[in-house]
Amino acid sequence: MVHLADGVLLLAIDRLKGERSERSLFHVLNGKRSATTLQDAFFYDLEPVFGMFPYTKYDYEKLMASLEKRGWLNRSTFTLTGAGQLLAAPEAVSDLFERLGGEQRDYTTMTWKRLSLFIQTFMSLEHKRTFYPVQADRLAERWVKQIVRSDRDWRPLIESFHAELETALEAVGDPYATAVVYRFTGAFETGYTYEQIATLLDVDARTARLYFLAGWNALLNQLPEDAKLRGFSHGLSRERMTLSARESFDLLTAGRSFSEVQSLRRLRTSTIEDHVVEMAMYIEEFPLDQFVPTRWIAEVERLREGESWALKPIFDQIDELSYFQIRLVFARLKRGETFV
Amino acid sequence: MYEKTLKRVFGYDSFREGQRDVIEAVADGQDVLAIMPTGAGKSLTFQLPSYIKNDGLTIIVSPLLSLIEDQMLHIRERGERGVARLTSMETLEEKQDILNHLKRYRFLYLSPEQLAVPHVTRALSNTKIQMLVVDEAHCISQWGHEFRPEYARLGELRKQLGSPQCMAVTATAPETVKRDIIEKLALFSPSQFVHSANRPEIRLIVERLDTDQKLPRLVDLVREVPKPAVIYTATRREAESLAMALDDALFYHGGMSTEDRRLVQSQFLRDEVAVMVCTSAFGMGVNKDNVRSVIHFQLPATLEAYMQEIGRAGRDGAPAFAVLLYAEGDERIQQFLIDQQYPKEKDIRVAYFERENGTSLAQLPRLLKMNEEDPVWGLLKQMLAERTLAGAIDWVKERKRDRYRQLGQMMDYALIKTCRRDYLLRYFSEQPVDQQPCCDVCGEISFPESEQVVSKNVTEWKHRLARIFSFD
Repeated sequence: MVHLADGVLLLAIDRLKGERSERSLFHVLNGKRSATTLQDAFFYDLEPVFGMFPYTKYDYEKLMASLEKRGWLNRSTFTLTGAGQLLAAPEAVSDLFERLGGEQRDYTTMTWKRLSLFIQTFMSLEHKRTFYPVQADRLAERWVKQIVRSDRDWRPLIESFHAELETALEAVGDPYATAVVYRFTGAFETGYTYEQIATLLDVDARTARLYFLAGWNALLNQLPEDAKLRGFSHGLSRERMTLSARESFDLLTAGRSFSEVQSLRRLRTSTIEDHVVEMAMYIEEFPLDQFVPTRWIAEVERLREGESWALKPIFDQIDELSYFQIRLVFARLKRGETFV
Repeated sequence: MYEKTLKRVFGYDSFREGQRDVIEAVADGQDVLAIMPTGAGKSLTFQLPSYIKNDGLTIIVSPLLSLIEDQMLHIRERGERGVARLTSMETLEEKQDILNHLKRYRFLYLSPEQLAVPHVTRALSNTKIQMLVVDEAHCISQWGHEFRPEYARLGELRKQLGSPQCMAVTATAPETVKRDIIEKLALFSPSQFVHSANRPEIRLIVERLDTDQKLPRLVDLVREVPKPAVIYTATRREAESLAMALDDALFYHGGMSTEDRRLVQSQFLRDEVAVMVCTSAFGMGVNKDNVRSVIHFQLPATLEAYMQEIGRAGRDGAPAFAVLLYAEGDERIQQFLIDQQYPKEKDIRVAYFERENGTSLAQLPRLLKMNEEDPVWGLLKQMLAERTLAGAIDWVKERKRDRYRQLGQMMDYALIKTCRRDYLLRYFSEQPVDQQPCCDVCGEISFPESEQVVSKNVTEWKHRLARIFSFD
């Protein structure tokens, strides 16, 4: 049996175009916050699956072996076979892939833990039912405890939560809506496991899990800015940039020069360069010409071959540019800017 | 008066066998040594006296985080807020907050390591302590099968706390271990309570079949037996495939995410699902009184494990059933699992050879194609540090021989043509009892008409959402 979840993983491999290694994808799927992995996710459109498949090394190896054995993957080049490409191609696969949204620090998961635990706790107290908490997360537990104890008129709020969820889920649509709703636990109904949701939706459990993750992420994106539910994300960051890069960025925007930041923070050149690449990837307005002479920027764009993000061919042709500079230009190109 | 408290706090109408005697001795202020099988309700025996005497803090020392967590959950579930824990899971601030407000609490759970932290001991010695409870007390004895060095200091710590009344609890303790517990904890002429391992309300059944009949028989059996029912099997994969083959069954095993495990447990506790298929990972602290049947699709590895697993049935005292399905050759799965828990002789030799020749410890797992998180690797690492090559090989052989012997005793239970209860009780050095109904050898056992306990309600998501958010 082939399932959508297989397709999603195959699509991730396909997007790497044979330019990166098995290990690169492993780190992306695990959501490793290193410069290289963030760049891989950014350049190869893997941000939606960043951190969404926390495999152990051992399980990942097993997965790769099974993909090869089923004739979908060519491990020596880390590219898909014809059959593999066929499975990665359907719109349903890319649709689910894009909706996953990727790990956004603790924003998505922690918001879920807080909300689901709060609803279970509040409704159980309301109906005077004992309950077995569905979340075992200490931070979420503590947060909910404080909120539940706070004295306010909960009923209208709960009704707003309900209405907001329903409106957002209507926009998101099925199967995502069903996967999300059946994960909730109330005073009388316990949430479903991924297996149970899978039976409900007639898919396998791994796909059911992805439907839930995608649905929950899409729901959060649907919520209007002033939604009451946003309170459950209070204090949570969804920043893609690493904390260290953010610190350098703040100093730079405060008017420090590149070398000042470097000496102030006692960073190696390669480290601060990684930070600048992160900025080029994630920041709306980036002063590229401060780092790369204008004429070379256009040159890089011209020399880039097709859809490739390989640095070396460019590096070999332009003596004046470092890998760092080529990366910066690529990052802006990837964001859709053009200089020719 | 005890019954009133039992009803008010715990919601039970009557004590289970033996509980009352222990509680009386505790309430009377005596030191107590209680040997009670799992599921006999031992936590109630040290909790209830706290409500009767209301005379300070009850401290419970427990070796396992998971046990502490489960017990706290159940105390909180019945609405008691005066319970806290000091373990590695709390932040420093949280711990300090608890220690600063000890008067708020009726029960304090902690690990032996935490109790030994000087400022914890000090804070506790300055508060009124009603009783010190040492759970899993056999861990204190070097003669026991689970000796824990952290337990060795408990006697001294008890003194530092001002020698409060002390209760030692364990499920198993041969004579040597019992003496050790009394001596090490300095129990003062303790009242001793030894419970029978017998669970009279559980009827014992073994069905012998051919391998290929097992699954169809299980499907029928699950329809016949009263529910809720737990089905034990040996592997995760089998748990999943059996759950798939049965009506209205969920699987539970250690490979699932925490959230999914909790959802399954919660559904089972609330009778939202009638049948659970699980590995031995299920059960630790699952307090569900109305489990009516426990079916074993595979042999467990030991009789102790079997007793513990069937002990999850009939905790409310009403009739319950334990059915073991056995096909010739079933023991091979357990043999295989036992073998898997120890490094192969070939790997041991390679590991010692490589270490001798300067290979680093970190490179070994890959060389041996072992998963670093695999306990077998942990074991091998330990052997490398503590034993010679010959010693390591002998040790593994000996351990395996011991485990095979225990498996053999489990097999005998399935094969004997005499009373099964007799056999179990003799294994636990107890006198046989005469009871009816007893087991399939002593007389035919029939299952009562069972009522439907589960109501399933699958609806469109909007209705489900509305029900979750409903105030009616």
